[in-house]
Amino acid sequence: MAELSAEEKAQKKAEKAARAAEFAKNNPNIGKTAKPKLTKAERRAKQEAQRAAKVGEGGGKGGGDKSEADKDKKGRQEGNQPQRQQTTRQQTTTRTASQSNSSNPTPSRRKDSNASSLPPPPPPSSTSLNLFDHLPPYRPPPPLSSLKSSLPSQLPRPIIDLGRKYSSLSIDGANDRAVAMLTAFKSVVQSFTCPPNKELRFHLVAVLKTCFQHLTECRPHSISMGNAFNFLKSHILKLNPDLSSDDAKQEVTEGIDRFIQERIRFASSVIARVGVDKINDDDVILTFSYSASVLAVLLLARENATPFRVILVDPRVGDGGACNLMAKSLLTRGVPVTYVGMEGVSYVMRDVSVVMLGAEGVMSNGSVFARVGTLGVAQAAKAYRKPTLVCCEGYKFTNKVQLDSITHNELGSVEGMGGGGEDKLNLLYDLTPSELVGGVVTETGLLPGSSVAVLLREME
Amino acid sequence: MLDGVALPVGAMKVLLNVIKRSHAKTMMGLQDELELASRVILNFANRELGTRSQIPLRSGCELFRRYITRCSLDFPDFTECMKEILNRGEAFASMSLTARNKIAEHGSQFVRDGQTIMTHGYSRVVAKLLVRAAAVERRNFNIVVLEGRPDGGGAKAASLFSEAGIPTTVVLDSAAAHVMERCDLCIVGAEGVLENGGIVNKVGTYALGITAKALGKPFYVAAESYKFARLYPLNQKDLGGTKGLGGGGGKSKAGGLGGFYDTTTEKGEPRRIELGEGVKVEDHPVDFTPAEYISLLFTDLGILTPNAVSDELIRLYQ
Repeated sequence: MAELSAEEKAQKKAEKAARAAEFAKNNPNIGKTAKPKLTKAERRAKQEAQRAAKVGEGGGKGGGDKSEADKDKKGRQEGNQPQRQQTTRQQTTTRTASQSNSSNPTPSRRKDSNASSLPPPPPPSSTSLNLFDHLPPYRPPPPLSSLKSSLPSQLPRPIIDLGRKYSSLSIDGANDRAVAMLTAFKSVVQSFTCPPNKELRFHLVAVLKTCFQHLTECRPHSISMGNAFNFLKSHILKLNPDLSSDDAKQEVTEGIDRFIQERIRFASSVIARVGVDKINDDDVILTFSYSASVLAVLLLARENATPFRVILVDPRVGDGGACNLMAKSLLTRGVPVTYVGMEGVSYVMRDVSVVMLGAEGVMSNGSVFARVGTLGVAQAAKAYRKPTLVCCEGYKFTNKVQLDSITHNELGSVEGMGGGGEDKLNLLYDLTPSELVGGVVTETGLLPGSSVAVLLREME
Repeated sequence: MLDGVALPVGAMKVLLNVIKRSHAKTMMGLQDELELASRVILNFANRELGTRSQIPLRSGCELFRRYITRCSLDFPDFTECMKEILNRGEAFASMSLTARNKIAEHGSQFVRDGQTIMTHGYSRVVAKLLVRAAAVERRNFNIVVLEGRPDGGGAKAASLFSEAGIPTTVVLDSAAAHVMERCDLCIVGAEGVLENGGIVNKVGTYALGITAKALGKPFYVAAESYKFARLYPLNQKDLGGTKGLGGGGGKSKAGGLGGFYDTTTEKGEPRRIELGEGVKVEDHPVDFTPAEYISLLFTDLGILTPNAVSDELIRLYQ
């Protein structure tokens, strides 16, 4: 570039100054007012207000994160807020004693009552169970009357009904919950109309996210639900943007049907066929509470007229009658069942040929997340050197790695638990490490736990 | 001797010939012919060679069939596909021949000067590995081999080792734990490598694996990749569940245990022991060694941990 003469330089400088002055005239506020520094409590209040305003608009911020881990965090965050608000208030009062803090309502009341349609959870216990306070507290299903008045009107009817069924545990079990959720979402999609100024794909996903958030508030979602929802979101986002609204909705509902048919129903039947191979004549199969996959294996073996018998271990408390359902399902089909309480598992383990267990999900390191008590049964099996198989559909495999039963879990109702004291804890799930699992039965065959990570890679 | 054709490789060559002479007009037709041919091969082997041959033969045939029929996806035209199939078939068969060389090359690195190597049974892969370590890498080590009743496999291997100039000692099968403390590592072959990373091999391998683990000695397995099988036994009994492979006492070519002899007679002549009427004799040609007892597998796909076997199988069988 040629050197500029002095007068050209001066001219450029003048032009620049003129432009700056013009800019300052048109934007008088920039650089002048600094943002006021808010305290933590005030920032929180501002956040809640913004969130409430957003929900009023219909595009829920909740669940706006893509990954499943974030979804879990979201579920936990809701439960965490009473804690955090409480500690926040404590911190601010101790730190800024001179500042007057706005008077606050009781710490456990949640501020975003617009987003939450349910009564707030009970205050956290102040005693020895602090170890579990990070888990979403148990919410008894709310009475119908309170529900009608406090819900945002955008929630579709099927979602409200489903949420009630989840929180009352009338729909339970990984597969049932996922299928119910997908079916409800199907009807949401079918009755969905996209506003003209919005892109269908993104708006539909946003609506479904609000629905999912509501379902999670009724009851923390299962791994199966989370994975199914992730599939649905990516399926919608991959739609051709030029499709007509009807065509798009058609593709989405077909995708949902295919998922249910292939990844859940068909997978179950393949698992039955793979698992039945491991049941030999005169075998004794031990299983724990209710599992749809294990039931499928046992009933297929019965169909093949293989002589075998089942020992059913009952956790006794907190499984909501699931074990009874398993016993009935087996007995009505003529499978001989020996029924044993959890305390008797080491007594009967000697005669067992194979232990078959169900799962909520399998982590990428091969550990199995399942109904509480599964770990105990697996340990008893290991002590007696009995082979243990876990039956689990591939869609319940997750990239998460969990190292213990405490970091992520769900709390259930403590009703029916014996003992007189106040401190009762009903953890619904536990984690069985992969060393205790001989093999995982999935729709791709019988695989070692170390191959779950490989399958997850293949499924992407 | 060491370069004799392995059973599965021989079977693959047979299948290759079936393809060359085939009149099939479609992929399905060809696959049917190959399946029939495989069954004939397996039945023959079962009759003539005993149940021990089943696993490597079956997995070899199945892998071969999958490897070549996969190309039907890339070549929709059948005549072109046939050409490609023949190419792949030849490649696969020759790959299997060079497999042993590759394994010997990589595995012999684990044999160092001054070591005592424990081995079991007559495995040409292991023999090639050890002979290469002595002859090519010029390492100085000695071998302890278990006798290997009833087929005397260990004793047969011992003569091979001594020909290569490696000092070799033969001991009773039951002396394995007794001599393990003076050994540095164990290397065995395999009839089949299983989905869960375990192996099926001549009976006594399981005991050797447990002993090695208990005494802290590394336990290595040398096996070609066509021995990878989609089998998943949960325990020893379940091996019998994999269609008659010696869990409850299969038929071994040796025709039974060959009698029991007392060698503590006065003249030193072994005297045959008469078993009573009701005494049952079980002949187990193979056993199953779970993955937890295996340190590493030397294969032509590389040196793998037991966990990686399933990974490889998923890829091979895709």
